[in-house]
Amino acid sequence: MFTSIEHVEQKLEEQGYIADKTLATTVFLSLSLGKPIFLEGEPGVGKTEIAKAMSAILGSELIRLQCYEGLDTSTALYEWNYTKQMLELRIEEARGTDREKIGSDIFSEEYLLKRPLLQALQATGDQPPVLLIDEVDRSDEEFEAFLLEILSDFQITIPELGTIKANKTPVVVLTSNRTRELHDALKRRCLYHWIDYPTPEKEMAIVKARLPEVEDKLAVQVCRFIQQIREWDLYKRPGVAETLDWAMALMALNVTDLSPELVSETVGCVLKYKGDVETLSPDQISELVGDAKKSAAMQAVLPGHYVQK
Amino acid sequence: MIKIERSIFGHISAFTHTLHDAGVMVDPGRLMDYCRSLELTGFDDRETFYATSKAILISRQDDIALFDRVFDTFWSGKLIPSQKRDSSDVLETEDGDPDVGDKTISVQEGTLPNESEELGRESETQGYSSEELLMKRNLATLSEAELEEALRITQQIVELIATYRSRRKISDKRGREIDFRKMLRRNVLRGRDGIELYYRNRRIKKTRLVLLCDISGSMEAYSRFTIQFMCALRHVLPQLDVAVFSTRMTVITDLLDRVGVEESLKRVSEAVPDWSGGTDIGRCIRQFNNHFDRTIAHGKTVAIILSDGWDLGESGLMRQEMQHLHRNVHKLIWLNPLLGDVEYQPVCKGMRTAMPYIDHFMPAHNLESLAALAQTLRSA
Repeated sequence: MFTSIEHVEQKLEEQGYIADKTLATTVFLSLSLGKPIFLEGEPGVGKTEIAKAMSAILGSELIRLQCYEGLDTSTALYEWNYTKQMLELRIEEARGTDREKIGSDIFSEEYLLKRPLLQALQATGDQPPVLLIDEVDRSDEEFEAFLLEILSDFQITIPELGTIKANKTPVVVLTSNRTRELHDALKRRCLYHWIDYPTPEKEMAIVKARLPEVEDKLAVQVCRFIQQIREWDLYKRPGVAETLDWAMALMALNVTDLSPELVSETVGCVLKYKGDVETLSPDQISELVGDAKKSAAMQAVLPGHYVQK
Repeated sequence: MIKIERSIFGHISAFTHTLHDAGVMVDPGRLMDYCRSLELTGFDDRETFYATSKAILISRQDDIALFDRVFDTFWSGKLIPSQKRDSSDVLETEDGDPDVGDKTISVQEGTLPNESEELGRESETQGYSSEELLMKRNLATLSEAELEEALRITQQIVELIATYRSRRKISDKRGREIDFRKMLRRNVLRGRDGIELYYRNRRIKKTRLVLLCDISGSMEAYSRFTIQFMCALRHVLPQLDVAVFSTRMTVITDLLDRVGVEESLKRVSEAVPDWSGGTDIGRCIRQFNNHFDRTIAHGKTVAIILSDGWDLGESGLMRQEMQHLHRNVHKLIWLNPLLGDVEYQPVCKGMRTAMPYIDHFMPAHNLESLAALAQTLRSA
């Protein structure tokens, strides 16, 4: 699939995903060893995005399972199509089928509703599907235990049908916002990677990769501003997703240059808590905007110098 | 078949041992994965080698700093020969990062002091009085009626927190949701003769409870209540663990087992050296997190801290440990006896540090105030 770590980096970059060396290595090893990737990090740093990028690279299906407390087999794995089963019973009855034979085949694959995990095991494409198990920290311990079984053998048992084995071992990406610690047994089956907030260079590269039409000056200003407030003691620090949202919002407003007024009007793209917005006083905004402008001016003269902290 | 040269394998294995000794768990399965990965990525480039090692050997964010340090030390040849740690590095290290102590640097096995040695030394360094202060408390002043009242309210609370409704559903005659799967299976052969309905409901499960009681000097005025609360709760609730802390955490579950209150108190006062000592909440929670994490506290545990929040320890450590505890338990409840005072605001340093990680913060200055706890839990 991939020949080297650099190959992974390059392919991801083609998809607009800028990965650092460790992440690229993790992806490379995960595909080589057939082990799931377990990604942790603050919200909005690109955990889910990598699964999308990988499915685009592999040209295969992306199957997503969003976790929540109480997630059970009927939503994660399979469910019988009860309506169809009941109708079948009525039809057979109307046809005058033998009483003994009525309902003998309503527990067959035809009446099965496939949920994400089963879909991933039964995918038929040339390339293995990418299975994204999103925010696994929201699920409960029972589900974790259940995942263990699937992730080690890639097979499941449906009592009425028997054991179903994966056609191709899916590429599995688990993500967690770390609202709780997952069990070691689950982590042990995966390759772990912590995605941190990006460095200034990396963030700039991400903005340019995702929003090619953004002007350099604005991109530098936005990145610098965000990098600065990320250092603050905020309840929710802005992730890369916020940087991109904000840059997009400013572009939609035809802005090419930040101003304190614009920042206070669009700050909702960056800070998502009232308390956080309140910590940002007009004076501080002016100061931050001034700093961001200086950074952009410097970068225009000496490309690459926006990285200084 | 793994084809890594023997000499290199020796180094790799020594590296994983060093990591293991430093506290990053590396099991044999990991080591095999590591070797397989290195075959794929090679040793030519230090950065790649680092990335590979990190991808395979790390499984939690907390270990990253420790890993980086061991990696740098080990592969730069700056290994410090193994030696017994001396008493200067017993607990926190000076650099403010308690996870990354001096213990990370040594290859040979068996260089870490064993548990009993460490604990022994700890109690030497903390010279708090081990007099049986508990015995001096006149428990006879507790009237029978008061004791009964304590038990009654405690039991009410226990009923509420000892169980919870799982989000998972099981067959239940009194449930309100139809269990289609069961219904169809049971009714397949009935045809038009009518259908028997089956229901399902959310399963009721037992919560694990752990009670962490502050027994420092500032809590002395409430100690009678604390003792009563601990014993009564433990008496009616087998799944409860109890620990007390002031400058160190002591689990006293076994000491409260099925003997009278008086007898329990005698045993406890013998076992707990730091009764009415100073307060270092951060360090105590840290001890709890490190030693009892997986066995006592897990995703379905409700942790109850009974403390006034006056803390003399380092607030950075306390924040870190409260966060850790919060992530590892289902709910974190803080009972504060000072909350009974209408003037009270959670302004003391310790309380302010802990606030963001607490699910329920409530008064516990007398037994009646616990009714509020019951109410909150009912709605939770």
